[in-house]
Amino acid sequence: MNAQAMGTPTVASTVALARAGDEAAFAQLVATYHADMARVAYGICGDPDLALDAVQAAWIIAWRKLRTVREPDRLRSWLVAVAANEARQVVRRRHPGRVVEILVDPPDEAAPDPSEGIRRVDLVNALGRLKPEDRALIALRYGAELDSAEIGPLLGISASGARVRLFRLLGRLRKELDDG
Amino acid sequence: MAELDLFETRFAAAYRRYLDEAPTQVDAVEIARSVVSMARGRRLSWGTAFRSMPAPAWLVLLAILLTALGAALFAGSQRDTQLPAVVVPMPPAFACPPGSTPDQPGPADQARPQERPGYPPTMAFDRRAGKVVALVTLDRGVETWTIDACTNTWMQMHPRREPSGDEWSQLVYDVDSDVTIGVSSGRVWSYHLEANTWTLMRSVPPTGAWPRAYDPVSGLVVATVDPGDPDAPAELATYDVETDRWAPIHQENGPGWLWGMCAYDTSVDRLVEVTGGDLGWETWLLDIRTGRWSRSGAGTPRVEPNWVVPAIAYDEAAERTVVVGNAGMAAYDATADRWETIVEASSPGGFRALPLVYDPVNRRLVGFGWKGQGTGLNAFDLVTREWIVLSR
Repeated sequence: MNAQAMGTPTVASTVALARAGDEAAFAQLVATYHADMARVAYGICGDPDLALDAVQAAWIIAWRKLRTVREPDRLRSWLVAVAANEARQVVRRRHPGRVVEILVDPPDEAAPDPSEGIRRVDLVNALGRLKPEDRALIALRYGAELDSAEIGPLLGISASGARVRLFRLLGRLRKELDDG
Repeated sequence: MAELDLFETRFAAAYRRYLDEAPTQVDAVEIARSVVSMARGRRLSWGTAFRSMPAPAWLVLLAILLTALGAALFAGSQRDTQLPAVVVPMPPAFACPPGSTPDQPGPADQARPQERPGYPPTMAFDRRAGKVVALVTLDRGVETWTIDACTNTWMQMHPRREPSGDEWSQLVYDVDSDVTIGVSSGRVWSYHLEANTWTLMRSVPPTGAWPRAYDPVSGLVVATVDPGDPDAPAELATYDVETDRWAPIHQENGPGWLWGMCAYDTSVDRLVEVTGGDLGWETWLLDIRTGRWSRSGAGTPRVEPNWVVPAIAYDEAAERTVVVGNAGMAAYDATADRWETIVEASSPGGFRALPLVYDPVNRRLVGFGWKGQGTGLNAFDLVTREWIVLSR
């Protein structure tokens, strides 16, 4: 089951059961939202193992804090925000300094991707140069596909602040990835 | 969001394809089982581990820590290198019993302290009891209150003898001696919650001494001492409640003056001081073991636009020192030497929390009057960025 497949009434009842300690209901939430959280965490960590660590930590927090979720229809954005925060923490713990690892073209990636024009290696290098906070913003917008009105409160900034930060980030990425 | 331009469309497509590499295939039942068992058993296992740790093990741990700190004596005083992360052994916090409701507001009709305008309560978190100890200043005297972190229930303690004094320092909980320390009118008081007893200590603190933080490595309370000269830098002292003795901390290369807005950061074993003036705010770190200060190179957010000292607390869960003022809230990561603005106030004066304490039971910050909630008590979880009303 994916996040779209679980309607709001179902989410509400599943959350209620999980809050009451129902492990099967909690497993259903994991099955529904884990992929979204993993994608966001991976976008921030850039490493599948670190992303899994972050998501596992996020699920522990979710289990502990599930009773504080008062709007089940916002459960998905809440969970991806918790995963994003954990991923940022994981990155900082592993890389307290700004260590940027520059990837080089593997043989099979030397040619530009005809469908997108942005090579994976360039994308990964550009993302690696961003701060974890900025990668979180990118992941929430393009990974979880949240809009600025949803992202702002999750990051403690206004919706317009989220838009401005995203605009600046895209400008920076455009220079790096689209300078041709 | 505005309509996507061509680059954004291409970027989004490439990014989504990159995210397809994320580890999304998992066994949900197994994850749920491990998370639930970890969440249910974690506190017990940590508590058991700490309780069962014999005294020599603590000494070995302390010796390793002090050796590592000794090596750091030769490092430069400027904050241009990363501080090593350390593990300061913190005693376990109280664990709420099953069925507790720490995220629900306390009873609406419960008796609660009546705050005197201009005199916010001073408080500390008693981690062994799982309660906030609050001293409330009234027109005549003070009252001792507690609020239970598991039920958010206030209780006026009515000790046989309330402490006396005019203006109170912030309270500091000494976890090793299990007492809460406060200074007022040149006298030191200690409060033992289980015995519900205030004790007037015999020692006379240095003039202008103000307890600020507890140092769990040395087991001493750290205090700032006002030199009485506005141009002179504040001095620092330690207080040992077991021997009832004060001792100065000899400093090197310190900031010109101190607001006294400091917290002890267990992740790097430093006292974090946020200070400044019209020209900007600065963050300094004190190695209590050596008395050496180092200045952070990170830009310090000005969370308080007025001449008011913001509130400060160290969040153990997030490993951040948090400051809160009228303009918002910011968190400092000493390991990475980086500030992050957490919340920007939407309107001046609408955001403030005095005093501010860290609740290790629920792993969140607790403050009075946060988010313009009047005198209510609110909590903020720095990890999940959630607000919780504890008491209206």
